Amino acid sequence: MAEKKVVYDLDGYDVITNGLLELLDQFPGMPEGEQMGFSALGEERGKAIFPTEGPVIEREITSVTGKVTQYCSYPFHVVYRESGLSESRKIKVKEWLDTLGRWLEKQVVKVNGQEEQLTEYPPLTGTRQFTTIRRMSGGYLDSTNENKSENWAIYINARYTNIFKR
Amino acid sequence: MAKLNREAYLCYLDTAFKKKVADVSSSTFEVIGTDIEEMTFDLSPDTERIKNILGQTKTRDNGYEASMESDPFYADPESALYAKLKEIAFERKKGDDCKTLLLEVIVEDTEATTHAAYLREVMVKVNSIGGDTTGVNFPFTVSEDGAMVKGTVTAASVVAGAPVFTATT
Repeated sequence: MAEKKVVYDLDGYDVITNGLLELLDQFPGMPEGEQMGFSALGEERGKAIFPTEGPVIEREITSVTGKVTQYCSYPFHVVYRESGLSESRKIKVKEWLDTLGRWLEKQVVKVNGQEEQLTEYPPLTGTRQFTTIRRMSGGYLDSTNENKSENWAIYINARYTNIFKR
Repeated sequence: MAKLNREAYLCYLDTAFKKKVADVSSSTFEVIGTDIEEMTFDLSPDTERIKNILGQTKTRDNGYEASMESDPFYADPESALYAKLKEIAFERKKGDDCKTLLLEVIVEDTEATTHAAYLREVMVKVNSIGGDTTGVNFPFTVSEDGAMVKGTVTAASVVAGAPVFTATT
């Protein structure tokens, strides 16, 4: 059987990455002054997103009027690196990732005793727009580094549309 | 010669819901089919074949019962057409309240300054309200209901999304 050819939304890479970083920085559980990184973490600690393969065009519809709607997805991991974690701190890190995932799904979450809910995804530049962001996993311990710091991760998929006239 | 892309055949409905082709000057047209991959003006020719006493086969032509289904049509509060369809659907409008003008445009040459166009009196009926989680759907059917006038639209007005129709004299 012929393999299905993967088509990438190459022009959308920067737009979606920047949009996601902006969105993740708005997470109420993000410590003050801290920012989500991109594909890079400090030796001991840090938080960053790691796209798995970039934005993929899953489906494309051309309407009878020539309007093109591309349905795309951008799978990525959020990695939370921390050192010297006690058992209770490990649980907290996992909870932080799970809460982030639920918040991205627009669920009501509790952060620092406050109920928080994301109501709208931020607008993206150009013709792209987030539609849904869903967890593909719960928070889990991904790996332990040589310096004993731990990489906790959650796998998330951001879906978006790109609508334009061809 | 290259075949025409599907978007070369465009259909517009008059959101001012003018009833007569003579009133087209005050019409405002909105293109239909922006979320549809396949939309056909079904002509439904009505013919019957009869064999006469001479053994010849004849075809009796009773004309057409042309109609077009537009599905989906997702509710968009910024669309003037949606406002009209909403009225028709929720207020169960019928008869003249559902009459408007349909403008068909065929773009055969993208370099041309005008394109052939056909203006028809039609009736619009909303088939249902609701649909799946994609959006609130108001699929509707357009049926021919009266006169037709042949003419042209300017290419610039088509590009601008607001075709201006001129009848051929």
